[in-house]
Amino acid sequence: MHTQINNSQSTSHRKNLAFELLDKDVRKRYLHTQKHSIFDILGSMYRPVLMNGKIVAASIGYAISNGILPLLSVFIIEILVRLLVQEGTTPERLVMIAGLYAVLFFLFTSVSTQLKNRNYSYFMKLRIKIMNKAMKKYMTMDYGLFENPSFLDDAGNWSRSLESNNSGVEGAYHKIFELGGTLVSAVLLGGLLVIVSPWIALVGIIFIVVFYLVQRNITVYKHKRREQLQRTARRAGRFTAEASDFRYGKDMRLFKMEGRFRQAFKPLLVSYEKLYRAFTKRELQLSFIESIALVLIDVVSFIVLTIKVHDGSISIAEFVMLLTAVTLFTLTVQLFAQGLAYVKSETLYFGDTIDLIKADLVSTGGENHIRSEGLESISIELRDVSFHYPGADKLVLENLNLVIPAGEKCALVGVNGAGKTTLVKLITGLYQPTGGQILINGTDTATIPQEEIFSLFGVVFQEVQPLALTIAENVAATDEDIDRDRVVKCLKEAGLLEKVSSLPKGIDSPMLKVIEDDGIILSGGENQKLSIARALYREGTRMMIMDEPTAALDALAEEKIYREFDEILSGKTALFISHRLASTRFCDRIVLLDGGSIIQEGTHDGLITEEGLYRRMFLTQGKYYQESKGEERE
Amino acid sequence: MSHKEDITIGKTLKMLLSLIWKLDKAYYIILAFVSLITAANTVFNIFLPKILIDGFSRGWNVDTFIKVILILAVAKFALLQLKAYVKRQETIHQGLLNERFPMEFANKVMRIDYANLEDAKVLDLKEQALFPLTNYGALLQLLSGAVDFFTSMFTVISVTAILISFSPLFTLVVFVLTLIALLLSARFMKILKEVTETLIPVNRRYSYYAQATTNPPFQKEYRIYGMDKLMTRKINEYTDEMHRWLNNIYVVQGNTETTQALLTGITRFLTYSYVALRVLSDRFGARISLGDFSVIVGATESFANTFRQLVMNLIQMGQAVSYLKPFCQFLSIPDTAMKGGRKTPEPLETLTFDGVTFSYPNTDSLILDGVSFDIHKGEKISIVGLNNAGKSTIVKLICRLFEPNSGRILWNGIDIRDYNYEAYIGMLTCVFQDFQLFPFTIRENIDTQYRDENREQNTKALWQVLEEVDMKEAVEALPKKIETHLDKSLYEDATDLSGGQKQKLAIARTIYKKSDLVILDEPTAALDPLAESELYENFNDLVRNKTAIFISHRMSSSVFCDRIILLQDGRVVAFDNHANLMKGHNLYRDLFETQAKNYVS
Repeated sequence: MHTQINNSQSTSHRKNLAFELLDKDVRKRYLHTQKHSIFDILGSMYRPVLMNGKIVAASIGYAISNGILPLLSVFIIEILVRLLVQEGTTPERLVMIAGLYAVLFFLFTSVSTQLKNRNYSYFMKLRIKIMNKAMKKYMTMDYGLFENPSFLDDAGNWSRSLESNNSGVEGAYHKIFELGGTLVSAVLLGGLLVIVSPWIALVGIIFIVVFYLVQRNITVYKHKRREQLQRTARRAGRFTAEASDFRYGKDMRLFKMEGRFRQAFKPLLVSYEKLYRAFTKRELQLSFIESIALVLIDVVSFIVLTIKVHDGSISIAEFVMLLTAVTLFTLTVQLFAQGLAYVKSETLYFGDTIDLIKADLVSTGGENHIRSEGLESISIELRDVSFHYPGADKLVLENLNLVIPAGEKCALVGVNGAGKTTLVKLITGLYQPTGGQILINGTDTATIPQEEIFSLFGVVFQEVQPLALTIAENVAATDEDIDRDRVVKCLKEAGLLEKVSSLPKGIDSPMLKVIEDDGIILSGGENQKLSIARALYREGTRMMIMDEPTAALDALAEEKIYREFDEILSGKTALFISHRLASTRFCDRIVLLDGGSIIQEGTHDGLITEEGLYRRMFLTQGKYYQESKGEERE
Repeated sequence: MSHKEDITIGKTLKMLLSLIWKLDKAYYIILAFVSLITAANTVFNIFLPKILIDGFSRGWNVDTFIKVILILAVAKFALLQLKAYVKRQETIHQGLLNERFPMEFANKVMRIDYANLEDAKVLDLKEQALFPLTNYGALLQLLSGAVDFFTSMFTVISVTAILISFSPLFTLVVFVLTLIALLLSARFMKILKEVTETLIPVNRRYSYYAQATTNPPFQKEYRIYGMDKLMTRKINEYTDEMHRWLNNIYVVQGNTETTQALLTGITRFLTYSYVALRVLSDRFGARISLGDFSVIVGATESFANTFRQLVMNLIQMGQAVSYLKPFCQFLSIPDTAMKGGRKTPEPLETLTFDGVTFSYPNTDSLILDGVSFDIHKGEKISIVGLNNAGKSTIVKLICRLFEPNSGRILWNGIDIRDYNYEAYIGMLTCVFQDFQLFPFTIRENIDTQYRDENREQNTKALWQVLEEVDMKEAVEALPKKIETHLDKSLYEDATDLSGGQKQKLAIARTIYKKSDLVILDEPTAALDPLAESELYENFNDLVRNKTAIFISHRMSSSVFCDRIILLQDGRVVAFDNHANLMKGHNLYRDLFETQAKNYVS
């Protein structure tokens, strides 16, 4: 429930998750609303399965046909032995019995194999569906959460149960399918043994319990120490990835870093070994209990059976049969207990997946809308905006006030670390201010759905990388209904069309080598132009924001881009960030950010006549050009 | 180039075996123990019923039975515990080997010729090499495949011995039936192999998108441009494809298993009939006891299963080895250290480019076309040109990261290739355009050859350099100062530096390294005007007596250089000082004036 907030009121009641979820306890409560028991997890896994009659029928069919197989083996032995110890058994009779057994064996086996294999891929589909939901959540949750490592540590385990066909959730699905058969076998064999002696079945049940508890203990022990293992794994992963990163190659060689990396590997191996030893030590100790339980089944059943033969209460034939039954029972029971432990450990992380899918991770304050149809541009107003990053005390922005009227071209300048990039994140809605308001066309952004704010901006970020898509897809940011003429137009405006036209496949050229061998790789400056084209392509863009869009370009290329910007922008509001002060001259207004707030603003011509940081920065940068002018005149 | 040399499966296996031997000598012994003990367990279980059944024909009383059962229990317990013990060793050693492989790979990347690192094919080979290791667990598949293989082998040997002692002919029949079953599944194996090979690239592409979805660099764009749907569709394209293939595989597998069941049925029919008949009468051979009946039935079953298992393990291992082929291919790229002469360079007097022509490997376009110039001791040289003019290429050639196609680069008149590589590199220092800092401490990033022994003296020098690049204050404000780590994703107490600060550290690292020639390629791209100017002002102090090469799109930087090399279309079109260049009509003047006119007040 959100109360409608009057725009002129200052503080909003909007959720600001990046901050609210900083505290460990709050986060745990918000994210993990409930502790998932194995039953909850199985419950949410099997809701869709139970709706599917075909799969349910197949599972039951498999359980019966597969579960009956061991019993068949027990009975054939019993019958054969009984016939063998009987007087007057004919060879034909034996052969006939063996034949009958073989036919039944074939029938049941083929039914169970067919059922198992033909339904295998159904479970993969289920996993992919869950994965899609989780990924969507991840790509749309508040950006601030993404920059919060402790949130990621907490929620980041969501993918672990979805990674492969034979582990995690899907592994558990397949295992449970198989366990149906194992369970039927265990019950049938156990039932058979109960008739002879309840002791044998009882020891069997004890074994299942002991084995399951032992395995659970090991799993939980490992799960508790997963952070230690993860830390080591993350470091090892990072060090090896960086040492093998080709981009590090030049510095690696020039500064001879090889030795340092090799040295970094050593302690990692030591701590891996420690962890592995600790984990397996636990396993070894507990395997003692397991072995005792396993041997106990043998001892109890063998003793019971031999005594019964001596009593005369069972025949030799029955003894042989029951011996087989005991062996198979032990095996089945072991399989069943292992299966349960497997399901337990593989679904351990599925709780994290469920939590991520269920959690509301988008801060949104209300249902106000910006009516931008028919408008070419929007106005932005920052009122007393303050901001610090989650978990940091230092205010990056402090009571900042700034108005950018619709259609204005505004330049944002300042020294390194002044907070320029942070300001971009706030305006575009990636972060919410910790104090004050941001208004778009007079409406408080805290009352506008996040997606709608995003849709108004075309942003060229400082470090741009293309995705392994075609050029057209990279520009359109989609693969559906691409307006190809518009792609060409935007590439032209961004100054990349000449390059793209020279490629054999034009705008359909795949990028990067990951997907296609003939993928193209663009230079840093060209990637920046591609990013500009993407910002221009979107119909909804009402404001362009560019963070150092020409840093990698030579003077002529830079000049050309700035000359053409007017035409490209076609009336949109624009914000530029640049260290090259001269290039900001074409802007309507320049604002200077320093110490967290705007200390100077005005036109370039106005600002350089004013005493102040802007003038100082401008003169400093221009000094060398001026001095040389002087030299020239000499 | 070396990576194109396709290596055979045999060579791959040999390399893997010797790599494992190099990394962990004990592993093979553990492997043998695990296999032997597991096999012993199986054989024990086959004989166990016989001992009891025969007990009745021997007329054991209950006490004897209990005694025997307890002895057997102790034996079984001992075997189980022994197995658990060696399994533990195996798990530890296997896990460590699996961690060591990517490290070995990293060690290789750090040693091979740099030219490889700019070769898209080698980059692709790297992806191919690491993907099966991390995503398929190929090494673990190979190692556990080996354990299973040897276990199966020992089991098959012992079970065959039992069967042959019973009836060689019967053994032959069982063997032939098992063989037929295997041949019938050959088609499945072939399909499985084909599909797996088809799926490797599909899986790799899938992984790219799956990782891109969750990795940092694109998150801002996903949100601003609502790209989540696009990414989900891309992922599903591949998951659907994998789903289709897997479904096909499992249908074929189902049919194969059904055929197998038929043959198993036949084998069991023959086994039960024949062995039962042997108990019944001596028409087909000496009569056997009920105990033997159970042993032979168990052994036959075990033979059929284990023999099939053996072949499957072999296939599994073969598959794992072929997965690891690109890994071994990468490891067989030769090291750089072997290259170059043995001369030791003297302090720089002149650096000469003599008709240097260069194009990147596997490309046609000439980046440098007969470039010649001389740089003398103590000179400050600026290289100016448009984007892609070849400026950074000159830097790479000087740093011996690439070799010229023709022409020579001379250090004091001697071809740089004649110098010992390590000694030569020791004479240079450089801020690369795309410099990288490393995930270590600030100290280790600047004092890259840091050793504990010379800590005191180096610390002083280090602070001085930090002061020179105006980072002293910022570093002093950190709780752990120069011992602060730079990677926030690894260390809680690490710091995140801004782009400008990182660039300052890179400059500090460059100055700290004692060298004769300093190269700075776009060292101020991320710096604000004040910081940039400070660098210019201090530059002469920083590099004082050293020779320096400076590359920048900021034309102001060339003013304080002694001479300027103007590069155009891979050629040196001018080599003169600023004042002279400004007199003529040339690209340099165009570039300079384009920027300068903005600063005319």
